[in-house]
Amino acid sequence: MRALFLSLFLWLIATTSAFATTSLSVDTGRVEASLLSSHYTVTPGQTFQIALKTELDENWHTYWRNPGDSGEPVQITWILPDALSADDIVWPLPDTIPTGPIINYGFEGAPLFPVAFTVAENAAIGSILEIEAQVYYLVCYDICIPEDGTLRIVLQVSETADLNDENAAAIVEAIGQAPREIAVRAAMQADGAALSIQFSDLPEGDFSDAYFFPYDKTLLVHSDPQVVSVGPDGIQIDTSASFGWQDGFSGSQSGVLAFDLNGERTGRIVSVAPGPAIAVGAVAGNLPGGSGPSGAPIGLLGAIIGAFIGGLILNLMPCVFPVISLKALSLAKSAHSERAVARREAWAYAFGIFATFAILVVVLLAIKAGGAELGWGFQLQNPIFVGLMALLLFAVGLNLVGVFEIAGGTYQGTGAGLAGRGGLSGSFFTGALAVLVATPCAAPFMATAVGYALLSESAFVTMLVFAALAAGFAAPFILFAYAPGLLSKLPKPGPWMVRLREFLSFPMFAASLLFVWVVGNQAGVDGMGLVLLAMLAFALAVWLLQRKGIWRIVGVATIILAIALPFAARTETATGSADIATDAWSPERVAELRAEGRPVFVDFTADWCVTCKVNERLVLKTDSVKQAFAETNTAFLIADWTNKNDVIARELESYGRAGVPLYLYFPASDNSVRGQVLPQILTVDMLLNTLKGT
Amino acid sequence: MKTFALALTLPLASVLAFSAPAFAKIATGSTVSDMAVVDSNGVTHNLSDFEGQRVILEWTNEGCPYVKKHYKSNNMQALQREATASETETVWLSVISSAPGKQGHKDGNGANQTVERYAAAPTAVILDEEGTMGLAFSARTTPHMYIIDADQTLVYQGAIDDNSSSSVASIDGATNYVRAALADLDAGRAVATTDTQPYGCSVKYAS
Repeated sequence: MRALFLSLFLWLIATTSAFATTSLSVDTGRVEASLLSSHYTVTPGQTFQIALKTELDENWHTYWRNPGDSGEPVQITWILPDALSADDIVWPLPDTIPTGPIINYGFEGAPLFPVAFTVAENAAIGSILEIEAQVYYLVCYDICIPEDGTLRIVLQVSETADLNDENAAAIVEAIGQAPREIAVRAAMQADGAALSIQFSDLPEGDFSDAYFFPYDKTLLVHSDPQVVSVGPDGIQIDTSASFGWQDGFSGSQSGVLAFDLNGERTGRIVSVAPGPAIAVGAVAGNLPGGSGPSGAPIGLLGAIIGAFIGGLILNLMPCVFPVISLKALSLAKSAHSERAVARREAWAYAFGIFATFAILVVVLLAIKAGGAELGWGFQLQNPIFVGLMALLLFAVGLNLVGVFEIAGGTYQGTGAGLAGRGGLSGSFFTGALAVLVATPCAAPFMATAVGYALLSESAFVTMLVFAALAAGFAAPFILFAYAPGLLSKLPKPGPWMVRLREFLSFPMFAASLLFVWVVGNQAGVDGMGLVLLAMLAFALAVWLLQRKGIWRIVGVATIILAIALPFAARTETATGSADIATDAWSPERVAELRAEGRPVFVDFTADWCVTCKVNERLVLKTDSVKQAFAETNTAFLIADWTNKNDVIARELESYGRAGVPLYLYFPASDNSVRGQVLPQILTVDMLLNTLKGT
Repeated sequence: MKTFALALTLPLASVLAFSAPAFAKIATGSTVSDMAVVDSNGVTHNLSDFEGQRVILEWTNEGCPYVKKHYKSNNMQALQREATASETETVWLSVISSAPGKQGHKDGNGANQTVERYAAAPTAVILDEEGTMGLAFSARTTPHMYIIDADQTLVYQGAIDDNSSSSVASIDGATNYVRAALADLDAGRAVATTDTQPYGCSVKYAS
């Protein structure tokens, strides 16, 4: 009787609407739940789908199979006739849902949970399939409410399968969008609290913002950021290991790797086995997307062009200026003599630039090959080098102001030690000096290119990009030497050159002071004292050398002493955490502040980085900017790279940079683990707009 | 004087709390850092005051269905009485980390009324509306349970039991991890299950 009634009921609505295969929806409070069947009638042995559809009130969410830090997954208990068997839920791609510092994995909107059913081969034609789903879910917004309901659907076994087009389309779409299983190479390693996972042989897509949702709740700490490094052969995700690693994981673990494909978020089910790390290549390629002119990924050609333009602009940067002025002076001197001489000198100057860049790059590559984390400007992290630079610039300054002349400095007009020596070797050393003092100055366009070069696997690519940089740097003088009109336009040599030469000693002294100050920061008052003592010894030596007999020998000894003194400078070891201001950068500190819901600004800087100091002076320390930081409660973190620091070097590298400055902004509103990259030359307006989110 | 001590120790506690990595767990087996906390009667406790005693921390939120499950069934109160009756002197602190305006937030009076209504038996109810203590322990759910042994090492953290449903019926037959850990400690054994995934509502921190 009941079956008859049901058949009648079915026939009635099957003939009138598609409603038969859609359950009446149940409003459980925050959720309207219903069942959708792909078919009106099914055949024996057939597989079909029923999906649980949940329409959530705005802002409310339910949970994925691993709910994350808290919550409970959506659950369906099927009450089925013998003729039916149900498969597992095909889970939609979850979202990370932050609530304060807590990260949950779940769904908003109207997620569909499809389930495959198989009809028994022996199901009788004409029999009725009563399907009941007891659904339970925790639904949360600011509070959590467990809701449940019972949903029913009734189907009939028939000789022909009759599709419900509308439901079937919705289910097919949901299954199409749900993560499906693919085979990738993957491995994970827990090292204490740190967990690294590598994925290789990945499908097409943008993995720079990838996220791994593990099925197991105890694999990783859900609330910690997942930092993605993209290599040519795959990606590595670095995050924190959870307590499941106390006993270890013996088998492979499944989960969903979420990424972007054609601008849409998508995911694949992958499994990861514990085991040795898979090489995914250096973190090259990981030139992060985001705002800022240097944010976009660049290819080799882009890096070469960027390096050339960067080299050109480098001529105008404040640290290079005094040296360049020297060169200009010598050019003015030779400009009115034979053109061939001017050209030879221009080439010697260019050669000095190339040779010095080459030496720096080779040394850098050699040290990097030894496993050290170094970037551009690495030599300036060494107080001995900085001390010698200070001494050299001091010597050049003394020479310019006329305290002494170097033997062989034939022309009394423009000599600056070796660099000022007339002729080809003078030009060569001017070029070398220009490169050495240029390193603390990063010019626009340069950072991305240098980052690309240093993070590249191939030494050839590195050399090529640096060659372009050197070419850009040398280009103006070559141009001068060959453009006939230009040379003759330079003023004629005369007494004014002596005055100008004397004047140029002051920028030299200023540059020298900067380096002394850097040594002070690196090696403390003692180190700074040593360099000042070296300067005194040098000045004394210069005076002694102008005396006669034994005094000259004493003078030579004093010069040796002067040069030896900076070698005694030692990097001061960090003086305990008490000295580090609360605004010192660390990845943990960033995560922590963001967990508090604060926006974070990170300033990757170094004392020897002039661009950084200029930004600091003109932008970061202005009242309006300070006020904006206070108003928006933005945390200001400083990553000080004055001395060698592997953690900072790795972080720079992960943003495709090999040097400072780098400015990152993490808005409070979004949960991305990657910061927005701001331009290297900051302006007050731009920064205010960024901070205030306009 | 009490408020002076509080004023002095709270910033210290927050520095301690925030110098740890963001919301990372205190590893089981490590010593808990000292912090000053204030209970519903305005009394300040330092965690170090409890050295020599066993301390059980229970994160709670009266409005959370998972908390209700354990209180309406008398499960939590029974465990509180049982734990504090141990031969080893035991302190039970129920902690409310709900921020003002969020579900479960209580002032001292409100917290005491809740204790009375449910005939609960914690040693004290800690009011942690700033979330300082919650973040220091990285408490994520209500309930989220911690056991600190007499030597101030953390010996258990995680769920109260192995049934993560909000249904009262699920309490029967569930394995209570806290009871098991306390039995291990009473018997002088190492705690067998030291970490479990906590379940329940998220702690309602200020966001």
